Amino acid sequence: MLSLIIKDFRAQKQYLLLLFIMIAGFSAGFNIAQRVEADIEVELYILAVVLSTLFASKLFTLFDFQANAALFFAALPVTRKQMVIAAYSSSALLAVVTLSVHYIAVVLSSTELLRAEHSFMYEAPMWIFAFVIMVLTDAFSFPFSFKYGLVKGSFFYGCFFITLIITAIITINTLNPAGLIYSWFNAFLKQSPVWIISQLIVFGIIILGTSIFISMRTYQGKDL
Amino acid sequence: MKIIISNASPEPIYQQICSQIKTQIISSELEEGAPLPSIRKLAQELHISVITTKRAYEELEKEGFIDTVVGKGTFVAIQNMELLREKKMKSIEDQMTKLVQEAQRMGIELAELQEILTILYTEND
Amino acid sequence: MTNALEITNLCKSYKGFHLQNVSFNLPTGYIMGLIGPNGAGKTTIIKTILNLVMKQEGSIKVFGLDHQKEEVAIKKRIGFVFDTPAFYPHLNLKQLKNVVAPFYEQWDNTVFDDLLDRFTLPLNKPLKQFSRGMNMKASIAIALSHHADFIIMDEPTSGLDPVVRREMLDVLRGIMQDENKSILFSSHVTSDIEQAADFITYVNQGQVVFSKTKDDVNESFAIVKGGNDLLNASSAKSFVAVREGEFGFEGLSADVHASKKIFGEQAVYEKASLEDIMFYHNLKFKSTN
Repeated sequence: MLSLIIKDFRAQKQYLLLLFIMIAGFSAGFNIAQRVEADIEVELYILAVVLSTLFASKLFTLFDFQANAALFFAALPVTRKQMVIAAYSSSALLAVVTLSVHYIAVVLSSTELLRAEHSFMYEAPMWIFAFVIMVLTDAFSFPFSFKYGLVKGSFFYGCFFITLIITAIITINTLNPAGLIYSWFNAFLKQSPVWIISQLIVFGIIILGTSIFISMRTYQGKDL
Repeated sequence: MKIIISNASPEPIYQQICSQIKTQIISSELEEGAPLPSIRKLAQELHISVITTKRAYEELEKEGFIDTVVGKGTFVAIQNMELLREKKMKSIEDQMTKLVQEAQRMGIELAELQEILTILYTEND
Repeated sequence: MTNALEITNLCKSYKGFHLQNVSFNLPTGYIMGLIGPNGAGKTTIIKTILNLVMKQEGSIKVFGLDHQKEEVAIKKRIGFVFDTPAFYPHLNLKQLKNVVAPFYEQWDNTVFDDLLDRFTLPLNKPLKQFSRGMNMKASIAIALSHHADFIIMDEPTSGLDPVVRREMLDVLRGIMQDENKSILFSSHVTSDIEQAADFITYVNQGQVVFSKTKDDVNESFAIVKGGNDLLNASSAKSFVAVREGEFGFEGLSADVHASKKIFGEQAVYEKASLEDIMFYHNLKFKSTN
């Protein structure tokens, strides 16, 4: 089981190293650019961190969904269940490692002024938030990959994601500020931070659990 | 021990092995108690199926030419010379019966056949 | 005699393909060759044993254990080779070994190094620079390095030149010196199977045509040739299939003794090669469909 989780790290050492250098360079570069031009949007940076980590994790698990590799690993002494859990675990593990590299690069390249200006970048919530987004993305994308393989899976997942975004935009645009959803959202935000976070965690676990369940069901019956 | 098998021969391979080992036992090239290769070793060397060598050994064992001792291997059986001679005689008789039948079919007289036999026997001496 | 593999009434349907009631056994200690034309179902059978393709009906036992309930325990003792080249093209063999070895408790580096030596494979060259033959040899080396009791190979000799092919068959024979090992390999190259197999299972259009020892196959099948005057409705029935030519017929008999009773010395009998056997069965399949 452990071999299954770390097999990708073993197989892609060189690629990982290159990736980490790029990520560290990017995060450090952001801070250095801040010193020259102080008003770079921090939101843009956060988005970039999330996207680059996502990209890394998708590239990383890409090999597993190649037909040949899936066939080979499924023939090793492992069950399909273990393969599914390993895919989620190694992707989450990679997210932790990648975000850590980001964080370390940011800390090392910061100045006191920057730390005072963007204090949230040096605190846990921002990085937990990024991690949660990563895990949720996995939760939505893995079932597609397990069901349809690499190419078709990515395509269907892409379609699903675009539909989701469009629906969200339409919903927000047509939302009446006095409407039901808006007031519910407002009420939600008014709760204590601890309560909000615990609710988010429960919500995340439910989504992740459902996702793992669906992935297992589809992958256990799949002909490779 | 020497075994040469031919894939082109119409004789089944297990019989080829049997007859070659038998010949070598009768001619004492293979001495009593001499170890024979294991069926797996023989199959590997001859590039044939284990099933074939197994069948050959079973045949030889049934006829009393070899003995298999569990856990030790296969050996040339201690031969009863009387029995061996009898076996050889039987085989000669069989061949001669065929010969006589063939001669009768062609209408060759006994005297004529005896004459041929005498010539061949003395020539070979 | 225990069986390394027991397949009973295995069924599996895809679009346009059915595996129908496939049954055969492989006793422990022997090599079985799986032959059949492309698309006959050889690969599907092999994949089903390993749970890569899910069976619909029937039972499969490996080492006497159910292949789904005891999946991991069974797979630990299996070495497999597929007809697909390496999937981590950027790795070299040493790195690939480091990925695969931890999956097997019994992994043995000395065996692996010996095989690489024997196959003259480089340890430090990326797999993407390997020829097809080298890739196949690499897969075989990986499959044979954890003292597996049962080795399953799908077309292991495809893409190999004749010399390497012989080498590989020699390696297999070497493994068979241990009577607890068993091998199942598919091939459409009949000479490989004629050379190495103890049992032959012939599959065509998703069905097992026969599963017998090689000696049985050699002794029962024969090519019978004779004048067309010998051929009538009842005597033609004794053949798997028969071809009538201008100057005589040529047919495959599944029981040479029965044929000799029918045709006597008026016909000629020759050993049937596996290729002959496959060819005539294909004729039969074509005419019945």
